[in-house]
Order: sequence, then structure tokens, then C-alpha cells
Amino acid sequence: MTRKALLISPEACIGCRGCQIACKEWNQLPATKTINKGTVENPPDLNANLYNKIRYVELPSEANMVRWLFVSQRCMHCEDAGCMKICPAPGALYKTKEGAVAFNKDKCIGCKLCAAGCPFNVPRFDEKDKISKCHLCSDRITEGLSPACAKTCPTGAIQYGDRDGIISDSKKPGYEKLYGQADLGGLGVLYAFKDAPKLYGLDEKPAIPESIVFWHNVLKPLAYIGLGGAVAASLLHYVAFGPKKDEEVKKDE
Amino acid sequence: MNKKHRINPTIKLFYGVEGPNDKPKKGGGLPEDVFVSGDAKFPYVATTYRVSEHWQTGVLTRHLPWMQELMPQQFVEISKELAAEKGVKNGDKINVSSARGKVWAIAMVTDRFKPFKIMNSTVHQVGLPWCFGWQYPEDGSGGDSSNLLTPTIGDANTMIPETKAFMVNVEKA
Ligand code: SF4
Ligand code: SF4
Ligand code: SF4
Repeated sequence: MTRKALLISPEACIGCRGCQIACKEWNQLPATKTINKGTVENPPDLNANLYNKIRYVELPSEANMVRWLFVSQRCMHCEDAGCMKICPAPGALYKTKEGAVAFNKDKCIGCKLCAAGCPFNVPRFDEKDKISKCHLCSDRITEGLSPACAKTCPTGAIQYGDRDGIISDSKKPGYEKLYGQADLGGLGVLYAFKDAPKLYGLDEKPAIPESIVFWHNVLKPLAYIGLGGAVAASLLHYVAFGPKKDEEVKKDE
Repeated sequence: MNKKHRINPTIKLFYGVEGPNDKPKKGGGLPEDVFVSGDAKFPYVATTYRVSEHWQTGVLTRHLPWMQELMPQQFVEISKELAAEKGVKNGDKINVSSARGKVWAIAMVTDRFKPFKIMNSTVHQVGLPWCFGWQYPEDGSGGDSSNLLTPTIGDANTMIPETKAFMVNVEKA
């Protein structure tokens, strides 16, 4: 199976947010009660019932007084996925044959460590503390359908296809900067940018925190061989959050 | 501006008021509508529009929680310049009033609205949707329709109700 990917072109997006609703419809996610905070952007952040959202960025300049960018954001389906590296529960997060990072709530133990391992601040947790995030419509793409958000997008701002094809498609005039081609082993969500990624709200060089890489490569195998489960879990907690007490961690959230 | 005319002399007044001293002849209009264009109480130009999340006044779409999540409340877009003049911050609740009525709206301070320079004076414009109001959400948190502000006059050329350009005041709520 060839790896699949989404290509996001913010300049083609009209901010209709059909993608936000199509995702909710396919995944049967209830609405959140929101208020207007002086922006069209709503809900203000991803949540357990919101797997993707449009970020609105006003960027007025001499050349374009009303430049307004609409940036679709969701899980990046990293090849080198920080969430999977740190997750101590086998099968809670898994890769599909299309390259999607999907989840199984029945296997998730609710430790929330994946949130610490993700460079893009994606994982959210439902009322039972189970992982909730975009799964690249893993249930649709295995049947040969495109993801709901890509299917509904009226402008082609979200395109779905073979990752290699998407990469060659994205090399169109004016869209020189392809984001995500090599980062973290190659992202499953690529962006065609006209400007620096940070203007669109993305890190120039996304990276998994060092301590999580260390955990994955050195401590995780050691811990499982030599230590009991409880010791391994507290060691892991230390690696992810540092020497904080549980209450402090809660307060920070 | 031409001091003799307080309103565009070619607009259609639907209820048949010809001069400043006439009372409305038929029901359906307010004498205020005739006089507001040059009224210092309402110094700002306003316009209305829809949002893509709601259909017309939103009577159908405001029942849908997913649509409400995206577009929950009446807002008014105002320029950074006017916001500074009025001491309004992004996200503040402000009142928009005309000779006809008053609605509250959440201020969206934006570059999409800019003051006009017209005959050496600065003219501010604000804009608000008319997709909120009656019945839903039941707790009234959505606000009212900006159609409460618009006059009952007809465009001079087409006689279509001229609800896209009228005069208002904005104040902190
Ligand atoms: S974006 Fe975050 S949650 Fe998604 S695959 Fe990458 S590390 Fe995991
Ligand atoms: S791929 Fe599917 S789950 Fe992910 S954001 Fe799009 S619609 Fe939602
Ligand atoms: S559906 Fe497409 S055009 Fe509409 S907001 Fe989403 S990405 Fe943009």
C-alpha cells in the first residue's frame, strides 16, 4: 500500500469550514457551546469533539491590506510520530497501512503522555480521558474513499491522494514552499505555502522533545525488561513532565 | 455635504412621506427614517451582510448546534481607528443604534474595515450580519437581527429595500 497524504493549500481556502463540520458529521462528534471572542475562528482550539479546525490569520501588508489566511489544522500523521514513541499502551495508537496514525480508545489508558510527545499539540482527551484526534478517516480510506474533510472541500484547499503524487502536484508556480516533506520522517499532512511557515502558525523545524526520543530509544526497552510496570510508568512520567508533582501537572493544563 | 438635503432626495419612501413636516400616510414606516441621514446622533455608515454558516436570518440554521458552534453570536466589524476612538477592544460587547432601534454585538476589530476620506472629513463604516435573532438560541445568547436598525426606504434606482447603507452610532455596552 502506498502512503497516503493530505495536501493543504491555505491560499485556496475560502474559510467556509465545511471541513470542520464534515469531520464532525462523519465521526458523529457533538457541538461545543461557543461564544464570539472577536474572531470568526471557533471553537477557539481543537478539542475531543473537534479533530480539525481552520485557523484565521490576519496579515495586512502594503500589497494586500486585507490579507486573511485560513489554515486547516489537524494531526499531521507523522512518519516519526512522537505520540506513538511515548505511548506506553500497546495498540492505543497505531499506524494503518496507508500511513495514518489512528487510535483505539479501548486500548488507551488515559495517561495523556502522547500530548507531551506531539510536536504539534494535537492529542485531546474525551470525558473518559481517552485519546481523541484526527485519524485521517482511517475507516474511510481503507474502503478507498477520501477523508470527509477533503471530500467536502469545495475549492481543493484540502486534497487527498498518494503521498508521492501529492508532492509532485504541490510544486505549482507560486507555491515554492512545501511544508512537511522531510520533517519528522515526512508528514502525512503537507502544506503548500507561499510564505514562511511561521506566518501560517507552524514551526519552521518541528521536533519531538529530546527527552521523549531518549525515552523511546533507551529507557522504554530497558524499563520493560528490567523494571515493574509501576516503576516504568513513574519513570516515564518523570521523562515527560520532569520532577513535578501530579497536582502541579494538573494545574498547568 | 449638501446641507439642504438631509437624505438622498431620490430614494423611495415606501409610506409616502414627501416633506419633513408630513406624517406617514400609510402604516409601516417611521418618520425618523426620513431624517436620520444627516443626524449627528448617528455619525457612522453601516452595512449588513450574511455569514456562510447561517441561511438568511438564520431561522433554519440557528437550530443546528454544529452551525451555532461556528457562528454563535451577533458581531459588528469595526476598523482599528474607530475602535481606538471609542475605546473599544476586540471581543467587547457594544451597542449599535439607529433612529429605528438598537442591537448589541461583539466587536470584531479588523483591518477589513478602513475609514474613508470623503470631502476632507473622515467617515467611518461598520458592518454587521443579520443572521441572528428570533427564537434560537433559546437563552438569547445569539443577540438580535441587525434588521432592527435598517430603514424602510427603497433604493433610488431599483426600489429594492435599501438595507445595505444606513446611519448608526456605536457605543460600549
Ligand atoms: S501530529 Fe502529533 S498526534 Fe499526530 S502523528 Fe504527529 S505526533 Fe502523533
Ligand atoms: S481526515 Fe477525517 S478525521 Fe481527520 S480531520 Fe479530516 S475528516 Fe476529520
Ligand atoms: S472546506 Fe476547504 S475551503 Fe472550506 S474551510 Fe475547509 S479547507 Fe477551506
